[in-house]
Amino acid sequence: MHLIYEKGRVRLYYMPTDKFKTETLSVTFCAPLTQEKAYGNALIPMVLNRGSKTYPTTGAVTKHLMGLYGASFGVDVDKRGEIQLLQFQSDYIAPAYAQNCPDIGRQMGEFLVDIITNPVVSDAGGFDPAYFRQERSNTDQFIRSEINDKQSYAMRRCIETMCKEEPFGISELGSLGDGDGLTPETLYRDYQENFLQKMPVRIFCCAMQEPTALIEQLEAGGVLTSGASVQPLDLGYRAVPKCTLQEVTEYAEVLQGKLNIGFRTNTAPDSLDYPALYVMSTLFGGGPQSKLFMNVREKHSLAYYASSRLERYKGLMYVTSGIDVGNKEQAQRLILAQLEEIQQGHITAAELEGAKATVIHGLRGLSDTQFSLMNYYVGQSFLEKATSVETYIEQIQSVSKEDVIRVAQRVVADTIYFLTSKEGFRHG
Amino acid sequence: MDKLIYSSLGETLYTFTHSSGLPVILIQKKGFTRKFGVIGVDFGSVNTCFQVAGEPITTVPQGIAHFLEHKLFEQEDGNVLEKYTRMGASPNAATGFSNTYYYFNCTDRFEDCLRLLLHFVFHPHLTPENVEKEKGIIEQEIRMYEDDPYYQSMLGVIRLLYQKNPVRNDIAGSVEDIRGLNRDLLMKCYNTFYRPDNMCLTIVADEDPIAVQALVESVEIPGNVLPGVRRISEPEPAVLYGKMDRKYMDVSLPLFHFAFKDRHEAYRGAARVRRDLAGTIAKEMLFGRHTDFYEQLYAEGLINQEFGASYEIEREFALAMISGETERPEEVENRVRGHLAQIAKVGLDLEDFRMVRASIAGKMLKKLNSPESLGTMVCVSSLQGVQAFDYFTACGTITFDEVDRVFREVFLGDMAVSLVENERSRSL
Repeated sequence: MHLIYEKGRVRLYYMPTDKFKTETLSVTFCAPLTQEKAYGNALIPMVLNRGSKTYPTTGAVTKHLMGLYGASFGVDVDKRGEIQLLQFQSDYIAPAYAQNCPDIGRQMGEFLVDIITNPVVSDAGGFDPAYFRQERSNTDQFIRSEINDKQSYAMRRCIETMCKEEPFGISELGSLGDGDGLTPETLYRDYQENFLQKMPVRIFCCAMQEPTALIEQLEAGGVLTSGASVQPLDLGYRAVPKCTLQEVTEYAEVLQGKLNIGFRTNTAPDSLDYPALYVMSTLFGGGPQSKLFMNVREKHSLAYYASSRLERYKGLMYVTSGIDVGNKEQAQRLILAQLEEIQQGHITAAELEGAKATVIHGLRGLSDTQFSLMNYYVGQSFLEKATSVETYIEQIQSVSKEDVIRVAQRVVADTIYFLTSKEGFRHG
Repeated sequence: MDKLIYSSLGETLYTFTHSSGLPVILIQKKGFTRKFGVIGVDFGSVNTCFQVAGEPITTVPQGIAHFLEHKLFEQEDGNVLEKYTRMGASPNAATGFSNTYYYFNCTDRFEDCLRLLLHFVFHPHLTPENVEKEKGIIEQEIRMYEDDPYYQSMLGVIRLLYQKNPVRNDIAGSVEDIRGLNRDLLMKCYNTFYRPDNMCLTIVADEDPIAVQALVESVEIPGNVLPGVRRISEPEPAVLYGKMDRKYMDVSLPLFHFAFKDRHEAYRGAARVRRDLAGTIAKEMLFGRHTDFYEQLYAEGLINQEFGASYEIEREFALAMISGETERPEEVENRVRGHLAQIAKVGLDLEDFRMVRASIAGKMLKKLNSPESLGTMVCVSSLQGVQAFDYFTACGTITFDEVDRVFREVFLGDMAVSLVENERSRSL
């Protein structure tokens, strides 16, 4: 991935490729995650997605994309650490396979710029009121529907509890009620003054040829014209070497209990120790070779899944598991005991090599999916110094047992969250 | 070794048969780092009643194919999942209605990974103790799905379509089913169905085909030849088993699945591929995002981004489905019925057909990007007597009449309705 263009708050990264049948183009706007702004920011891409002056309806947008060999386009809202990401992503058939449309890349660039910069505007000088109202209602529905997926619901509740005093505890979609004061006009003003003028923008293009036309299109569309001062982005990493363990139990209509544990890693995202932390977390709970899988699942048959993963940028590690509601104490003890094992250095050479091999396999595989590669570099673009996948692999290879023990000893449990069944519950 | 060149797709398929009778398909994917190997068995969750020539009829509990899939990973000298991850590869398996398949994904040590695949699948190590131990794990897997409202809504609609067809049963069986399983029953199924000529190995990797062939031939695979096996299934009535099903779960909005039944038994080989593509085009013309129907319901807040339609045909079943979430399921149901009646009157649009067909062709091409989805599709299709690449080459040749036929034969038939609602709505 090469940074081929940088001006003011905009960076364009390009990755040359010819092994795929498709090319991808994504544009990401970045904002600090705040309770005040999160909901409105998240609403902007949803409203823009409904149509532009050129393609004013969902039907017009979809038909245009169908005409481009079934190109896909979508918007997404996410967060990395305490940075909210507003993403516009597309992929389309590579020109070599699009016989009647050799300039498909240029057309997709044009389309994306149009959707982002040329929205339908009402006579009152705001976003289309119907689009605004419908997307607000959809966002609210979407926030409410988190309860439908108990696994991710439990995860989110665990994070909210752990980070209730920090911006990271805020959902990337904001909360119900946060949008109550918004109108199509105030949101549009914010779109013009903040979104288009001030938010840092990261553009990623994975294609056979450098996207030269894209830069002209962006400049013509006004995305690049303002060199306004860049808001500093803070990932929100925090060291919390000591914390009082919080325990929360909540009830729902479930047959299976969800036990989640949140930890503070106390290893910064750009620390030289980060590769060792990644190996540590993988050894602990990242896959079938891990201590959690081998013990919680295989040895004690307590769970179908029990795994850990990292939130690199905020400095967190989470364990998630689905267990019989009666086995909470045993499962919790077992999970925490596996971490202690690592902290005390009870790691075999085979476990260490297995974890490293798993991490390296995952990193090598990144180059085979365009979207995961872009995802990796979006995160890297927030660090002082970006690390290429190749260098990262070398760093992983040189992680030693001592490194793993050292980073493990800095990991502390912060929050234990348990979602369990109301007494005697069966689905009706 | 036979060689099939698909020049318009930029792909080549190599096929040969191992001396044991195991068919092998190889796709060389130039430039890809990841290598994928999958071995499929023509044995799935529906095969619970069969007769080996010269023996009485055997009936086994539901969920046995899935249980066997879990158990094959356990070898005398350790867990296969763990062995793979120690090599840096990611392994997994899946059980469907008609097939079971086991696969690995690696970026290194391809030969070891492939040898391990061909070893563990042909050398089961089941003991009464390790069968017992697995029950706790699978019980949690079943509970996880029982708490998943989307899955429950879908299962609900399949049970309305089919009265006798075993696709109405949960692939993993129920907790009661699996408690009744033992080593002898599992081995009976293994010995009956896990025979090289009832399986297929597929490899998608940037590897020299001649070398791969030599490698596969060098592995000794036990013949395990048995006399013929008769799969027994009860005849399924053409009419729906039921029209309406309601379940109550902890959901924020009611979830719905509407479904129609097609005659799966009427299509084989290339004809099944054409029916599949025609059905996919039909559902997109009727309910795609470009349609006025979608736009109208979305604008009225009756549906959201979760709304979608699908058409599927496999050897064991064929159905079209419409699903989503809504505050007013009855209204959405009425609108779907009204829409279909209206199209029945005015007919499908030829221009729209051309546009949708081209976009589906583009979407099909994207599948070639992923070694996993391509390899799995090729392997499973082959077990079901279908040439997977027909999907890519036939798409452009599907006619308007074929699509119109699916519309009239399927979408104008009886519609089953399955809802999952919140307990609170029961009293309303």
